[in-house]
Amino acid sequence: MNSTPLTFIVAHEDLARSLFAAVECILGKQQNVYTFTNKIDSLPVLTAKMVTLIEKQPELQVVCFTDLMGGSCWTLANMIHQKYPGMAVISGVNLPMLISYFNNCTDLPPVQLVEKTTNDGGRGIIAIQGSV
Amino acid sequence: MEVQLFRIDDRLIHGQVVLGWAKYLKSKHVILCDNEVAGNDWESELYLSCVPDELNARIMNTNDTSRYLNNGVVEPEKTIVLVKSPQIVRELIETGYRPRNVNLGGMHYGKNRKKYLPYVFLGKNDVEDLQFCIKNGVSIYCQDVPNSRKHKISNLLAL
Repeated sequence: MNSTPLTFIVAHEDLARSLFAAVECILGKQQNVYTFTNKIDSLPVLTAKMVTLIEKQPELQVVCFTDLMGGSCWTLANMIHQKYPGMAVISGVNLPMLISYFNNCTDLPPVQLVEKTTNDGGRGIIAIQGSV
Repeated sequence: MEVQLFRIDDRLIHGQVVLGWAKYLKSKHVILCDNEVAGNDWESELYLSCVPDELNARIMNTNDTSRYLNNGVVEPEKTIVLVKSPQIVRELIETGYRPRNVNLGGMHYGKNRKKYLPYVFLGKNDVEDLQFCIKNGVSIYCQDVPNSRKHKISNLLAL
């Protein structure tokens, strides 16, 4: 069993905090997870907070979830990824994705974990058409 | 002719701009004016990758932007110009381009910045640059998204 990766969830308004609260409601307490909102802090301030956490535990795998591809949270994560290429960035975060991630994060190797997490996030989206 | 929207936003190209304003205004072009981004291929690519297919985006430094805006932009009425701070507006004025109206859409929290609105935090230099712009005839209003209330910056700075 591996250590729990250092996990960031970065999103608009209170989305990251609320999504993570939903995860803990379903799976129980999780470790090494930090949620961020882009509501108030400038991107350099947010970057500094995240980089400090990465540098505190350099031995840990790092995974960063963001909500909107192309949004400021995603841009910020990409900029950190450029400095710390070991950090995986997954956009389009949703609850099925996070549930899959926390269920597997100590068991799967990094590349497979990111692949499974991303796939399971997509698999959680199913449409049932309404009758016209 | 004045561009459709001239916006100060420290996040440059992001959701509020390309999904909020550009859709609302039916814009066709985005000019990101920033010396740092223009001089960094990787950052330029990153920002360009955030632009939806229906928008044509270009990234230019301050001098090139000033020249381009003065020499006749293609479809100015369908163009959004983005800069990350009041300092860039000041630099544009000093290099010969003066926008008539500027939307201050996002300057977020940082050290030594005072809060004026939930999305406007300004440092001493930002205020000085805004005052320079106002003295040079630029009308500046704060508004983050198209359907939110407009605030005149001169009213906020007087507080």
